[in-house]
Amino acid sequence: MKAACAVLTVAGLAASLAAQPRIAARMDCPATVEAAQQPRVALVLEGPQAAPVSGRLTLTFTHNAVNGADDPAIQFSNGSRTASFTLAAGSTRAEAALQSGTVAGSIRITAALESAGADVTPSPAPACTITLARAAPVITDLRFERTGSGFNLYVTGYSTPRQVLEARYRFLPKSGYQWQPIEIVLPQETLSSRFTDWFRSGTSAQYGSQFTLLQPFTADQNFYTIGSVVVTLRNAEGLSAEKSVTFP
Amino acid sequence: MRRVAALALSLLVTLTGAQSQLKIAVLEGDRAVNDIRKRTAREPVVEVRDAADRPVTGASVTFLLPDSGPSGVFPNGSRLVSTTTDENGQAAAIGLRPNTVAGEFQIRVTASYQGQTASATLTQTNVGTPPSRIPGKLIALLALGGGAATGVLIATGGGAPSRGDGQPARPVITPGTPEVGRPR
Repeated sequence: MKAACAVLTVAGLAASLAAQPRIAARMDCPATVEAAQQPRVALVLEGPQAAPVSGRLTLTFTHNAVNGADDPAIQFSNGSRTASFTLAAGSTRAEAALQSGTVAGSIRITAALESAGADVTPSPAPACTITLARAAPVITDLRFERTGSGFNLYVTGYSTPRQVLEARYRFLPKSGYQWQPIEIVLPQETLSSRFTDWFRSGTSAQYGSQFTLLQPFTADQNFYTIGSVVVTLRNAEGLSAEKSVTFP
Repeated sequence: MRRVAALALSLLVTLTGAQSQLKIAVLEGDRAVNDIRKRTAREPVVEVRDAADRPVTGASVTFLLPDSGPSGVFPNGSRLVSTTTDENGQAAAIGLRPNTVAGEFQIRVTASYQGQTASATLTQTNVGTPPSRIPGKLIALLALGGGAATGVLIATGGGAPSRGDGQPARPVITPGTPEVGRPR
C-alpha cells in the first residue's frame, strides 16, 4: 500500500511539472564594472512566449575589500535590491539599471520568473556576477579653506579596497614667484591608521568606501606666494590621478 | 649644510616602491643618546641620493617621531616635520628635543622626489630623568638658536622672508594631524 502511494505522488508531481514548463532564460550582464557607475543588466528569454512573463531580479553583494563592509549604494535604480519586471507576450528582454557603489567585491543578480501565476524559473535560475575590482583611490573633490595659522585641505574621494596608505601634496608657486615645488608626503604611519579607523567604524559603512580627508597645514608669512597644490593618494593598488586646487 | 665624510655614513637604506631608485643615507643621529634632563637630542641628518649615488636636491623629506612612549618633539610642537634637501642632497630635523620618557625609539624618515620614495629608520635612546623645572622661554631660545646655527632649511619657524634677490623665500609649510571622516 505504501509503495503504491509513493508511485502516485511521483506521478502527480510529474504531471504538475509537465503542466508548468520552465522558460529557458539567461542573464546578460557586464563581467566587470567600475566604481560609481550605473551598468545595465538584462533578463533574456531564449524565445518569445505566448503569455506575459513577469518576475523579479534579486541582487546580493560580497565584498572583497581590505576593511570589508557591505555598500548600501549597490542597488537597482528603484532604490532596492530587488526589481520586478513584466514582459509582454512575445517580448524577450527586460532591462534594469543598478548602481555599482564604491566597494570592491562581487555583485550577483539572480532572476525568478512567473507566468500565469506559476513559477516558471528554469533550474538553475538565470544569474550573473559583476566584479568591481580593487583599484587605486579616486579623488572626486579637493577644497581649500584658510585658517588662522595656515590652511586646510579637504580631500574627498573613494578607495574600493577601503584602504588609503599615503597622501602626497605638491605645492606650486603663483605666477611671478620662483621657487622649487614643495613636496610633502604623509607617510603610512601617519595616515593609514586614520583611514583604517574610519573604514572600520560603524558610521563609514553607509558611505561605502567614500571619505573626506581633512589635512591641516601651518604656513609662514610667504603663504601668499603659493599658487596651487596637487594632491595624490595611494593604496596597495597604486596612485590616484592627480587633483589640484588653485589658492585664492 | 654640514659636510660629513663618507665614512660616517651609518646607514644606507633603499626601500619602497617598485623601481624606486631613491636612497636615504643616514649621516647623523642614528643610535644617538639623548639627555632628558638637559632636553638635548642628536638631530637626525640624512642625505638623499639617486640611482647613480648622486645627491638629490629639492627632495621632500619627512621625519616622524612616535606618538607615545620614548619620543621627542620638533620646534613646531609636532612629532612630524617636513623639509627639503639642500644642494648637497642633505636634510636635517633641526630642533629635535627628547620628551621625558626614557627608552629607545625610532625616527621614521621618508623621502620623495619626482614620484619616487624611499624610507629609513633611525634609532635613538632617551636617558636620564626629567628636570624639576625648566623655564619654557629658555627652551624655546635654545631650540631657535640650534636651528639658526646650522642653516638647514626646515619646514618650521620663521625663516628669512626674502631670498635677497627681491623674491620672497619659498614658504614654509608644515602638515598637522590629519582627520578622516564622512564625505562632505
